[in-house]
Amino acid sequence: MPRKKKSTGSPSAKDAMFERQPEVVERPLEDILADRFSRYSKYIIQERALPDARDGLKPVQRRILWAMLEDGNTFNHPYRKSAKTVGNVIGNYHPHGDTSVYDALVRLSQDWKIRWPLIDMQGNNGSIDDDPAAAMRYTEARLSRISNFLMEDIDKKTVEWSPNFSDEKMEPTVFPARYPNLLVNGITGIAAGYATNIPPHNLNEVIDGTIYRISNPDCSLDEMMKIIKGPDFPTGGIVMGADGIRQAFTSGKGRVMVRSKTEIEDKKTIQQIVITEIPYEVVKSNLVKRMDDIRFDQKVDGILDVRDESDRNGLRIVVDIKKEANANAIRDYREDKSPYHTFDNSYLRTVRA
Amino acid sequence: MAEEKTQSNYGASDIVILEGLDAVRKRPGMYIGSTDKRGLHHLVWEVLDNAIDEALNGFGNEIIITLHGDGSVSVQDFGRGMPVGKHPSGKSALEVIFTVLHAGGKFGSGGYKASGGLHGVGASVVNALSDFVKVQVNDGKNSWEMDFSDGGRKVGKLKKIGTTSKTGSKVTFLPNPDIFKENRFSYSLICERAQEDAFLLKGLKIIVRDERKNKREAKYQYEDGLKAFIEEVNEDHTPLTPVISFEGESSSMKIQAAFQYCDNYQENIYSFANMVRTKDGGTHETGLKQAFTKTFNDYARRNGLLKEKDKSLEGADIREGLSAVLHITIPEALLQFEGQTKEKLGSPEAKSAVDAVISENLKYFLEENRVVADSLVRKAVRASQARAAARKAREEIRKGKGKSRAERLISGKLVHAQSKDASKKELYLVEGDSAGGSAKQGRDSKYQAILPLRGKVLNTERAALSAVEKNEELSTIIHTLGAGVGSSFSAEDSNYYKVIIMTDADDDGAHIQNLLLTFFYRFMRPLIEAGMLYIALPPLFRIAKKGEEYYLFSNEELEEKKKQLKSGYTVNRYKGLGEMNASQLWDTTMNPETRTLLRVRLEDARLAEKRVSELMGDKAEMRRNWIEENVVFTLEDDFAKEVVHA
Repeated sequence: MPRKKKSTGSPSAKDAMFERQPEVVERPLEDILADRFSRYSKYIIQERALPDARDGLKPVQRRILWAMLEDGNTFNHPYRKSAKTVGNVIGNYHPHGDTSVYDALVRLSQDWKIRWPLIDMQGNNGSIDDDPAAAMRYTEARLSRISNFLMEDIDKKTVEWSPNFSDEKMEPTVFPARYPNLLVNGITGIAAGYATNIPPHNLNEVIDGTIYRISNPDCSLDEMMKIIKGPDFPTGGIVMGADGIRQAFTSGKGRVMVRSKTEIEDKKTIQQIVITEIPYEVVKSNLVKRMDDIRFDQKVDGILDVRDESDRNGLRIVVDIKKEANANAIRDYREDKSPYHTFDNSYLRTVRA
Repeated sequence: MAEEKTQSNYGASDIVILEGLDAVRKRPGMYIGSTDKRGLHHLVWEVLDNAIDEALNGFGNEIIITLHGDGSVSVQDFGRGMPVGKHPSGKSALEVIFTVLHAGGKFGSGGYKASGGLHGVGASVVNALSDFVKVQVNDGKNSWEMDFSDGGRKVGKLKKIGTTSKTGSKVTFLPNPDIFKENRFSYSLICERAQEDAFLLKGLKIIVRDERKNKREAKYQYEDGLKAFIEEVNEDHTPLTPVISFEGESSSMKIQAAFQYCDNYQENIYSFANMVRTKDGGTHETGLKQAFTKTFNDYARRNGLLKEKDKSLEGADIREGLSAVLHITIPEALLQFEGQTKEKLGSPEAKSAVDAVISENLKYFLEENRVVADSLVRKAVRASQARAAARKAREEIRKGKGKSRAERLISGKLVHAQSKDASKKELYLVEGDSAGGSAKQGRDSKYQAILPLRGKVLNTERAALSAVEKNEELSTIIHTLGAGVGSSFSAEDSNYYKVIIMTDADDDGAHIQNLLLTFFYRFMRPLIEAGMLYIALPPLFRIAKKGEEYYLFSNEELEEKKKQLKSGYTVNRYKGLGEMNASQLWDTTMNPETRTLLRVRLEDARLAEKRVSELMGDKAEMRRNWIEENVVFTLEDDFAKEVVHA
């Protein structure tokens, strides 16, 4: 820090002048960087990337749901064009790009990403193969039934309101949230310096746990873990080891490993590894591709074919292997080498924890 | 440290009154720079300077800075203690120090041998801008206490509160919240400063205590502070030599220096005189450069690394990759600064003294480490070849060879200015196409060129040069300026002498500014050093009342204007450049006759380096700490109440 006595001035401290003169204000790089960074980080932490602990929503998600409720676009009314909702959200509450709003809207409707979708979408809302949703002029949406519980009683002075960007309307700063949505649906967000990654949990377990906690405010983690056993992924799969879960519940930071659910079927001439559930947030087409690569590269002997047989009846990936091959060994190898594990570094960090 | 104590009676008669105090409260900016966070901490530096001057002169080697729970801060030293006797003016000397501007022991020759706080506005300015100041003095016999409050308007009695064998002073003050909107002291900022002082003064122990909510404490004490300084600066770089540090004395000046070569291409020289940062260098820095050039060339010639007919190595090539810190302690009588600020040392004696000490030590180092020395000479030769080649390449691009490739890259993106005079041309880097359009239509096509950037540019803090050159947005900037990149960048070859970053006044705009600043800092630093990088300041508000309209650039201006217009006005808040018409953009932001620009300066290379790597680097942990320390998470927004006063 230089010991300078010279006035550097600052744009905010100078005298208010209305007849402006050209002026060059000098500021050191580190001050400009610090000022801009504190502003940006504050914004991204507070208003963009991290959820509020009370309703488990990021601001853009809350604004989408609120705009839809305000518009009467609820589960007991017909669907409405997504483009209309997106327009309402941008015009009234969220002055940002339309794609980011539509992407958020679509994600809220995807039942392989969200345990209990908050949006009910009509039309192509993407797939677990990471196919894009149809454009917003095609799809239609309305609030799902559970969203109702998130926002119920919002008109009864339950929450704080703040003015929108143009100060023309008011928007809720949080929802009354009748159930702990943060835990039920989970969330991922990366801000500056902070990140959060919370897996979804079972609705019934979480509500039972909440009730138990209310009646026994001093209950131990062990008691709680009898009720809420761990994450509950919308895509199923098998959690390997409970140590990570306990660690996450204790410290807010832990690693949960998830594997696909597989069965080995003996056919007449071949064996088959049949995968019916895959880990949360794994893109199915990538998974199939990676398994096929193992076959092409002949890293393991005995794989004959890898087929994605998923259809309207559900997810099904089949790996044909030679009759004499060791199916278990192949399965273990493949699980090591393909994107099979979800490492959940759960920083349970939210805006208002 | 002073080898003989100058005069242990730092008594009342040493204090000289130069003029009255009143103006400080009226115009705090004139005395402490500003009333923001920077100005607030300036108060601490003022008090700390006084404590350090005691240590610098050999009195006491410990300083304790405490941030108290009530928002006040205290600085305690164990020096001689401020004088408590009667001043010739009739008041006690202590009262004079704290209530009379330009009073101090540093104007005469009695109190101090060497001193950094030459300006001596110190204590009284702090008093003028504080709610209260409490001074406790131990003079070896008695403990004294004196209170000031209400900006120095109320003066308590000088009280004897006990007897003691200790010496030292403790000054506690609470800044006036009406003057300082931001009145929370930053622990990390104070620690940074304390660390720098501890680096420079061997053996000095500085303790920083935070007794507010988040209790913590840091201690800084270095046996070889300059070495630690260089180690910290070069933490992220791969060293080519160990840190070499030495000290020596020449014509009653004490010279300490440390240096290290790393595998980067930048040259970082940090110079200090009497613990004051001399940002603009001066005679002592010239001495250091001279010593390096001479010693390296002598060594190269003596050992046949440069043949007789070879040209001597240039200083800049020898200093490529060099980080050096230089601290000279000069007696008051010889101390001279150039200009009004103390940022450039003028004492002519310093040059030869520094040259002598450094040449001698550097020579020993080179001779004793032949292998390293030879490789450093070869590095300098390579640097000089690279420099020549880069210049040649740039000239070729200008003359034709390779020109078409560069032109193709920027065609369709850059909107050229007509003029060929680089010194008058300005390049606007504009966020987003939607604002780019207004800027194109609103500009002065003679001198102003527009380059719209799409979205967020690459974060270059961790990027290699090759990645930067591959990045479309950044390579367009590089070719538009046409002055090279990285070590081959040369500011005087730039096609534009003003590069102006113009983004929306919102949060993403702030981020884009930071990304671009990081790029220029890492890959075109001479541009910043030459003062050619600017940030445009678009208006934040428009206030209109029956046909009149005004653009306002800060909340203060808005408040002022509201008072003036009384009622019946409407206020718009601008968040994006795209919200303005082309003509509005010209009037408010781009017209050289009326606009305000922010010029980016490099003042403190150590802090700049630290801040860039801290905030833009890949260590989330560091960033998180910084955020927790410096960002206040509130949802203040009182705009709604004020929108319409119909």
